[in-house]
Amino acid sequence: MRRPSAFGVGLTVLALFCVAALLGPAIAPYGLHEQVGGVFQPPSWSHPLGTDDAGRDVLSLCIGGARVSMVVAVAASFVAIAIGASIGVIAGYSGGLVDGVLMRITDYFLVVPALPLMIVISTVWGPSLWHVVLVIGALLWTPSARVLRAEVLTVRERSYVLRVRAMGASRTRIIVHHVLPQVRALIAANCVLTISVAIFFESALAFLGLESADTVSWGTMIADAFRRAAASSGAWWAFVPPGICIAIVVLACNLVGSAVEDRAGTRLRAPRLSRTGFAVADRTAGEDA
Amino acid sequence: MRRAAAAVLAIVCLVAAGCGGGDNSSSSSSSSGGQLRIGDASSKIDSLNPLVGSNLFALTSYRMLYPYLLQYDAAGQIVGDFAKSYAVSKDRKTWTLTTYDGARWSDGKPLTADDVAWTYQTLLKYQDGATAGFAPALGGIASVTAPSPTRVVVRYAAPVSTAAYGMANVPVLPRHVWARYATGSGAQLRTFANLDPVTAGAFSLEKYTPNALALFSRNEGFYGPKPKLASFGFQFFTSNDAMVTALKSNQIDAAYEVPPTVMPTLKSTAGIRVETHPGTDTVLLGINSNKQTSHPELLNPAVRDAIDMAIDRERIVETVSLGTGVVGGSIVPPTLTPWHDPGVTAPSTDVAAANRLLDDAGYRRGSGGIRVADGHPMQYDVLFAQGVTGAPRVIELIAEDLKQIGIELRLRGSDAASYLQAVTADDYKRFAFSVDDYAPPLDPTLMLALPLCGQLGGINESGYCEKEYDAMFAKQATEEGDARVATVRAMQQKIADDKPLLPIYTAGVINAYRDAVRDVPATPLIINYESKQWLTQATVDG
Repeated sequence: MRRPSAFGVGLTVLALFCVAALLGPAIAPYGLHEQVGGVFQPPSWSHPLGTDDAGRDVLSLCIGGARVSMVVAVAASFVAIAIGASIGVIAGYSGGLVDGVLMRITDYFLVVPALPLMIVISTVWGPSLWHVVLVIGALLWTPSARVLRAEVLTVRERSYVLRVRAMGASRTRIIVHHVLPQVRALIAANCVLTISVAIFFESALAFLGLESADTVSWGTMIADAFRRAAASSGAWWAFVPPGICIAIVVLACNLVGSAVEDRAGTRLRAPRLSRTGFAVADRTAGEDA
Repeated sequence: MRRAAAAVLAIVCLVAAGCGGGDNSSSSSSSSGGQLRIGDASSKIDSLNPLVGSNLFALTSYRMLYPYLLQYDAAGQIVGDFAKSYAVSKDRKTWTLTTYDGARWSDGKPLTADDVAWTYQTLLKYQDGATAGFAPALGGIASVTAPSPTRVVVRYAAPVSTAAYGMANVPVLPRHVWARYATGSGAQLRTFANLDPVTAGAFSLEKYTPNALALFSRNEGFYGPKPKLASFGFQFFTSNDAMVTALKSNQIDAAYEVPPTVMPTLKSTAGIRVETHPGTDTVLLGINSNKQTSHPELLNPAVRDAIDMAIDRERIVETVSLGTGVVGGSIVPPTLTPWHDPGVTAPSTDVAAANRLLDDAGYRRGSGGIRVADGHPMQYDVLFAQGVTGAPRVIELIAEDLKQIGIELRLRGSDAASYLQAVTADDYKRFAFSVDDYAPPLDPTLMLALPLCGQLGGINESGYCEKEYDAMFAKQATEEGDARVATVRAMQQKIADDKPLLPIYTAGVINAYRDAVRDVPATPLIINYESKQWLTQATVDG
């Protein structure tokens, strides 16, 4: 009962933010670069979340900022999953030398501290949204690669895969038609979970000024508030709303991600685990909820 | 181990927390006069070596630690420091300075005119290398000698208008400590960390933690008037919020470079006063003025006039500095009297007139309302360093204003080094717009030097190079009094006409003090690094 509802809530919230990101300027009450009032005006009827340090409407900025934050996070997560899933599936299915080489590369990336490396790369490449997407994507793929490899290792040994192989199907065909469908749900779950990490990194990079200065995202909103000492000025409305937006999206991603993962886990385990396996799956799900 | 830790704690308490909660009575007798703890979140001491450091607080530290021949007084006049008095020959080529007798360095060795002569000679000797930073201050000096322990004679090859300013900005170093580094290329003069400096100024260095704090105590053997303060310290914060909290909770006595947005809350805090006054820190919009530019339309005077007219400087001052700054007009800011020319002002904002100018010049609007010049849309990158005063807000506002006249700017921020590299890249062919800020000292030379041909590849951030302007610069460098003022003002007019650099606004100085702090005179320099006097006069009530 509870698990589907968590999934539903998460999905609804994500859908809402996606709509905000897509419609953005159309539903925002004011323009993103429009000066509508004084500096750090407290919330009022005309500006429900007050104004920021340039006299811009914070509600409009939150809606407009959703576009950059969400697009960057989703795009970066796709990049990460594309790399992670390819490496994970190929390594898991091939085994042997290929597995060894790919996993050592993964291990290497796994121990690299992501944020400092992102800062270095962003500085060298220069501030740009697509750089941020690539940087985050290129450094967040390792967990997916590890998880997927582990899953593919079990799928590979299943009898139907062995039978298909015995019938002479090519490796590509087996991976695409017989392995990938089995791990599809896991990929989706990892993708959503990666979004929640990516949105954090996007905000961090924006906060550090490594995003283009004329973009508005939740991270740059917090950075601007910090730079002009909003906290000391009592202007909580300049940094709390974007912070809450980030928190909500991360929470929603985690709800959806773990729900999908749980379902995937159940289905994957079903064919090869005994009734105890079902019990185990159900129990973990119960603890989760 | 334990004792060491306790000692460190005690020192930290002394600076950071004021542990006693404002109760200074428990301090020892030598601390009469109180302690002034100054916080800042925007600057640091970049080095203790006076031949290396350049930050505001580094310069202030050198000023308090080392003797200088001359210094500025509260009225902005140049007066004596280690030189009690001085006489200038009629041809303005020979300066004879009489220094204090019986002065001593902190290690007990005598401080005499010989130290002065040695320091100047050494800085001159290495002015093409290790001590190049002092070359402008020493310009035109032919020789420096010390005929007696209390007499320094400085001879110039020709009259130099900034002679006194130069002597007010060269620290005197102890020969017996520094002589061993003045060998070979002189590189060791710069690599010497000077962490335990031998000094002779009004204060001695008590404790120094890089990037965090510096503690100074009164030098009882100081040759000049004794400071009233027993000690003072700088504490450097990593965020403005932390600094403001420290001020409110009485951990520091003064917060410097307070962001304008915090003023209203600080003003309403009991026991704290906020002082704002005009500063020198001026934000400049550079337009590529180089003959080789790949944006020839930007050389068109009509385009420059239109840009100048479109920028709403009043709005920028209101939004970015909350009214504490002043709109820019001349590259020499108003606080640099008598050099600033009040007659050189920016045109009043008139978007309609600016649009007419561009229409008449034939720049038609294309897709998205962006004008077209020579077949390409008028879209440009504006380069700036992240640390520029008011950035990125001030640049965003400029971009909005220019959008109204069909010119689109894309903001390209970077660190200071990459910024300069990008501006000067390809001999100024590529860049279109640059934004930087300069906080000049009380002499106009720095601001006037910005558009010089000789500074191409250096601090010239517009690519401007005009022989006529350079000749005026050379002329003012030898003039004195009203003659120099007239030339300096003509130069400001020339820059306002040619518009290589558009002064946007000059930021105000906003410093906050606890009410216990008294007698710190206002200075446009944020913290007065040109004088020992202010810190020797300041007091803090217990």
